[in-house]
Amino acid sequence: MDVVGEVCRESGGDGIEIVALKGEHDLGSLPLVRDALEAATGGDDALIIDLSPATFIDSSILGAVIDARRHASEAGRGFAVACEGACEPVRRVLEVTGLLEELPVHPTREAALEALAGAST
Amino acid sequence: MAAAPSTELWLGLAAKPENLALVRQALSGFADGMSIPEGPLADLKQIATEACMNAVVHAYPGRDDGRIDVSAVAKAGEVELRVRDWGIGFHPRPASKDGSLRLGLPLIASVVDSFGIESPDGGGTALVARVRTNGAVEEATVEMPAAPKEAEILIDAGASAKPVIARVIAMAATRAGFSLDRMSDGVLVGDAIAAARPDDFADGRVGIEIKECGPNLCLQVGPFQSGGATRLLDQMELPGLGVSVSKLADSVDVVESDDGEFLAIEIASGTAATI
Repeated sequence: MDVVGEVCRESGGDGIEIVALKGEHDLGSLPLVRDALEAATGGDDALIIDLSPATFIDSSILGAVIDARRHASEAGRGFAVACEGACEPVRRVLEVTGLLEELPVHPTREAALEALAGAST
Repeated sequence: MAAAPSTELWLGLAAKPENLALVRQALSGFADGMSIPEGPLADLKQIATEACMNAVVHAYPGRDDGRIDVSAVAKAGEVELRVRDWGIGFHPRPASKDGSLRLGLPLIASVVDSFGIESPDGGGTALVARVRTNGAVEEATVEMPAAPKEAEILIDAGASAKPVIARVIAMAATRAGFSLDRMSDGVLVGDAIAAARPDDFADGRVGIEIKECGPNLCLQVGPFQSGGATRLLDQMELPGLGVSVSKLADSVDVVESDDGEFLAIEIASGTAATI
């Protein structure tokens, strides 16, 4: 059981940075998540937040995702969210809050990479 | 005869962000014991987390000694979840910087069958939510202990207590930086407690108070009927292992107090001291 949330920063190549949330994330891991997102949005790269390995997120994490999107938008950089089918509880949270429609959510990380690569060409 | 399923869980916790995961682990254990499906369990965890987060962030401004009580009561086809604090009370607030209030209560409203916010006697705020489980369980009533101390669990004794106690101890041990083998010892100790006879406890329910004592975990188990703690200690041979709990724990003592008889168990983290 992934009860301790982890945050991984990876390069997606071609000016894309990926922040992946693994396990459960809430107010307890929010500082970790915010630090990673702020670091990832501090440069010129586009950002993908990959929620596929996440097994739980609460509204504080949704707030951090929304803020990251706003920062990316204000800086004119690309932004996408990946959420594969396995992260059903997370997808449901996005759905009931309306963020599944509001955010650019893609069914896989690869689809998110393709969307950002397509947007930059 | 198989033990009757537990219908009630109670937790008393410090109002701190790191305890939200502990609440979810306890609810997962409760759901395991009650055969509650994944969907309703996910809703219960989401509601409890949002309600506890609200209490952590807003109930105790300028204080670090706040408390939260969480109780889950399984009734016919539903679980009633109650999250209560003793803070400043509920005040509608503008959206906060972290976005939690913009989304927290709407998120709760979107996943529950009904919920309400109360101002209970004694102050603070209580959120009560009901989630359908599609299971038939016995009617039960909740009784809220009045004076919460450290992190506490209160659950009906019997087989269904085992997953709750195991998950909470494992989570507390993880947080305290326990080595894997010492965490396993802690879970085995929890299993042995869960296997105790219900009538050895004062009211048929297992109460465990969990504290971090430096790098170690201290468990206070009880209250017991007179002589119940000693009987449990004698019975605490771990099935199939031939090892007693007193060998897994670093200390086990029977303690008498005005509230009754308790077992005080300390488990060392196993973390090597740094020089």
